Amino acid sequence: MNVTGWLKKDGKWKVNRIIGVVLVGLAVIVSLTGCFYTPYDPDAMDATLKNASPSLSHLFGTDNFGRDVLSRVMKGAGTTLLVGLAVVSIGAVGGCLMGAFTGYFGGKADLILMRVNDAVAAIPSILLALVFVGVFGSGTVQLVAALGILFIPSFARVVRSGFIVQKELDYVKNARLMGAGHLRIMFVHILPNIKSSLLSALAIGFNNAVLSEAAMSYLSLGVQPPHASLGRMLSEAQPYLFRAPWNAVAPGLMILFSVLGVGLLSLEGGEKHE
Amino acid sequence: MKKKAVFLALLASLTALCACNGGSSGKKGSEDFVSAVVGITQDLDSLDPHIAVAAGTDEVLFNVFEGLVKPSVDGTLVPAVAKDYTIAPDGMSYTFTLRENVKFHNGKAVTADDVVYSIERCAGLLDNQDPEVVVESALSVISAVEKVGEDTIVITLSEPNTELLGFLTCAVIPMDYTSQKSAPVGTGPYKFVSYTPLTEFVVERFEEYYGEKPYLEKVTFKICASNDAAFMELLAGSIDVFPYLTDEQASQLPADYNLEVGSTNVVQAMFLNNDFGPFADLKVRQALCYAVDKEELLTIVSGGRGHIIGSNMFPNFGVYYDETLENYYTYQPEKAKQLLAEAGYNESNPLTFTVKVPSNYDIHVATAQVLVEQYKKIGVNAEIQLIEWAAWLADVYKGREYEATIVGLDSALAPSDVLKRYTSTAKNNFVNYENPKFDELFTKALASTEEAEKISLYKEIQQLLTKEAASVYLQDGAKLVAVKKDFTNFLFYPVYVLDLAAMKPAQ
Amino acid sequence: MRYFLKKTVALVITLLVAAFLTFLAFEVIPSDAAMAKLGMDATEEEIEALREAMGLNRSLPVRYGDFLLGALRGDFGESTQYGLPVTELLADRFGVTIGLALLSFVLIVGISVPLGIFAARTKSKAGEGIIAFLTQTMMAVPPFFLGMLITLLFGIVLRWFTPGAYVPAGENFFGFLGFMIFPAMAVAIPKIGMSVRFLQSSLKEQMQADYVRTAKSKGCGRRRVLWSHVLRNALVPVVTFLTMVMAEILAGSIVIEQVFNLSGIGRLLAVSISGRDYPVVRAIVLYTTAVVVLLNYGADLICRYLDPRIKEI
Repeated sequence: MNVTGWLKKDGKWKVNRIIGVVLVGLAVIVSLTGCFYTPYDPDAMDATLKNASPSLSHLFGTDNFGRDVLSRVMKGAGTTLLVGLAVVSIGAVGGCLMGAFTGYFGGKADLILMRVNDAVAAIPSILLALVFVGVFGSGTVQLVAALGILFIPSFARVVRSGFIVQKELDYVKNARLMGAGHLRIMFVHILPNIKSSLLSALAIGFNNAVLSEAAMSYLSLGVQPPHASLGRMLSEAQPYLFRAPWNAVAPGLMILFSVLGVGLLSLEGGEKHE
Repeated sequence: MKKKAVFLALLASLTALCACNGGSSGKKGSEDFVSAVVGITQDLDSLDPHIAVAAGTDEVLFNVFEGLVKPSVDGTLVPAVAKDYTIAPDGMSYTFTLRENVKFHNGKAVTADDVVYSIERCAGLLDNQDPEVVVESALSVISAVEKVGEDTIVITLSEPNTELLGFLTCAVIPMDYTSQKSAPVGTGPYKFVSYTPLTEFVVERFEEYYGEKPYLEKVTFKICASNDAAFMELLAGSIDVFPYLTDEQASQLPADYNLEVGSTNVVQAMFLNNDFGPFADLKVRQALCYAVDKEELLTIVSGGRGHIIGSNMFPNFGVYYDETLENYYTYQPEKAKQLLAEAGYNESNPLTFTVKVPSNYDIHVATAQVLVEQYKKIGVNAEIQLIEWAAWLADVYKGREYEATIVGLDSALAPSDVLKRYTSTAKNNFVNYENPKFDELFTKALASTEEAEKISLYKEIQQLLTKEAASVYLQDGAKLVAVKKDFTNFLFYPVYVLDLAAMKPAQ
Repeated sequence: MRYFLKKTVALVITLLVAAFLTFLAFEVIPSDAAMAKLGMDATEEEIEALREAMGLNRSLPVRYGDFLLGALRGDFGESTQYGLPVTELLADRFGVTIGLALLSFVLIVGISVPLGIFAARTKSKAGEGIIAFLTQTMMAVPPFFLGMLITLLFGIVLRWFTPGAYVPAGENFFGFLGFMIFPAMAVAIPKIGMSVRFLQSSLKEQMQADYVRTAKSKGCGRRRVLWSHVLRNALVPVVTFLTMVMAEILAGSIVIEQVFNLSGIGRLLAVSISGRDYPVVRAIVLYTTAVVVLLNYGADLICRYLDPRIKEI
């Protein structure tokens, strides 16, 4: 598959896909750069520059501690994107496995696993987060693990409902007649056919993971201050919306770009086998 | 900056601040009685004053309950349910004469039996003690409470203590009343009307109050979900008094509100676990004190408001407070580095520790962030770990499993209350401070009947804590209160209370 | 009949598992009801005495059994924080949460279904792009931030409502609506983005399916094809998704309730967890579990109706 072919169809550019690539690329470049270079030390404070408005020296202004917002966004974007990716991966892999098996086989295993699924979905996320802090301590890895587990039930439900519909279709029966094994039918035949809803779920999952990171930072789990993350920056900017909106603008745009980019890319995925 | 803060704090604690430039009438809305809505950000933990332990609840219940004595704005204790009292010269007993015609909100007259019951309940002397009542540890020196006449009671102690009065502000409640938790009854200027969890606590003027009748006839304490939510309501005009403004909010206050500035009367510090390896070394603790630029800290976290402190006491303790200690540890990063080097820490072996900060207090979280940055400059790696309040209580305060923590400690109106935790046997000595010299001075100060001697002993105790750098003392934060211009005379006390009975209409 | 019996058994199992997980969770996290209640000044002996009085010292199986026996009789105990029966405390909060949930659900379905169909049908690349951008933007704003923006814009700048001035629906229905529509918006907007997204991709998937081509080749009008077959099938994953959304908002939104100062289930839950108010948390978990399970059954039934090929769920 060549790049132009992926971006072009019948001689026409796929605008959504191009924008998606540009946005995701931007997010990745910003966060990669943030690993090596930031204009200022992202944690350095300056009491004389509290909530300074954007200027040539501080392109996106400074926050309530006089820290350079741009530098913090560059540093925080990496953390946030990584957390988002890791959480979605755990949730998607776990959810796919669980949803595929329960949806395909049904029966007792389905009954029991789905009950556990429901129970986990019903446990308040704060409580689960506290359990993780209690058992494993707080930190970014624990955050990823806790959120990942929380994300499994929703993926499982989506995949399961797809499998339930698909397994009754002719192509599955044909495959079975041809002697294909269950695993092969599940992951080679059926899974690609629910790709579109799965991609949607992935995009939404990524979106939610990025947002949950912000919420979890509040609950003493995950990224600890003064370390920057986009979600934490956004929640810290909240009291200053009136007086220093730039506190929210830069991290907000960064979240929007990455989520929008991922969303646009996943949107186009469904058309491939047309 | 600091001078201004000192001036404001003094002004606030000594006089009633009144800013009367609003011209509107004291009446609110179309209701024909005068009412006010006070925004609070914490739900009440109990309506029973002996069970409630949260400072936020004490603030509210101050309007409903009174003790034998009650605090006044200048920090002295004035008679309330009692008319008069005498302390035995040896500090072993207190005699109270009760005021006549004091009535409970349910109409019954206060008797000596009610008073005896109330104090016994607070001191844990009842036979069928409710396990939810937390005994005020200072009252545990009480050996007996006796009624010696229709209007006289005598409190006998097991050891001399001349500071007990500050704890006898504990509420007087009727002895045979069992619904205190749901429909509280006291003797204060306001009586209970209704309470809806997470929503509001409503009181109205008690017409049979023995003292001056309050101006406000009805007060609604609106329980807001968060500081930001409360401020939104203030911006919309539905809250009249909001006592927990942040510095940022104070600078955005709408034109129809006055800003009143007082002090929070807490000791905010980075408390160090003196048993944690590196902190057992005096040089390390001192280095951590020298490395803090408190001026910068105050500028960042509270716009320069707040009062820098140097020991475990705050300025509103007046004569007992040693203000010279505020400048004991000035910002000297070089000296801090040198002390650390002497203690064996350098670039290849940096001092590393974790600060556990209760996540529900924005001010402590912000303070922690500034300190971590300042410590970075002397090569110390401090990591912040946010922790939920209940977990803080269990792990840090009770379990003492921590290295450093940032929190604010409040106090009753007795110097012993704020300092007692440093005695080596104190149950709440969560900093694990141990010093025989301190214990000796403290016992002497507590028993001292000579005011001048007491003052000098308490100052010596504060100096000891500072020199030993028991912890890194930071500030007594500023209390910023928004009051609608319809009202004036919002009073600041040297303890944690909200006095709505004193509010007056704007002229 | 057999179906309902089976479902009831499954519901009971889920409730038991959820309750047990809650018990386990409280075993693990630091602090307990007695300590949280007594605060800083209590001594170890006092805390121990209250633990004894609250029955916290009994072994886990005993407490679990005791709780189950109570729950069977509809008695969920007393809140350790408020000293009120849990059922009473919860009943007062339900009005707020259910009102909010219903209103936001109406918004979600009412807006996302037409928008999703339009998004799937439109041929114009620009239209598709705008919708993609819109839905993604709606999703990308964190709820607390959205709530804050709505309060600022409609409450403070435009003054369309008074922040914090919630009135129960029973007292003044239109006053209730006039206030609740704003938190409902904050709840609904991100979910609208998501469900449009789901519906759109699901519709597209169905339109490419063989049976649509067959129908088309037989000369069925595009419109009829879309309505009679495609929408039906496409709704299956959307219904699954909407069920999860409904369960989520019925469980109470801690964030939205905080921003708009509503005292619903979400805020009660947050307060109860930090106060280690076990009886309240357990009751809320049971309620949430029941909501999740029952809604899932509902969704299964709807899916079976929409797509009769689905046999056993």
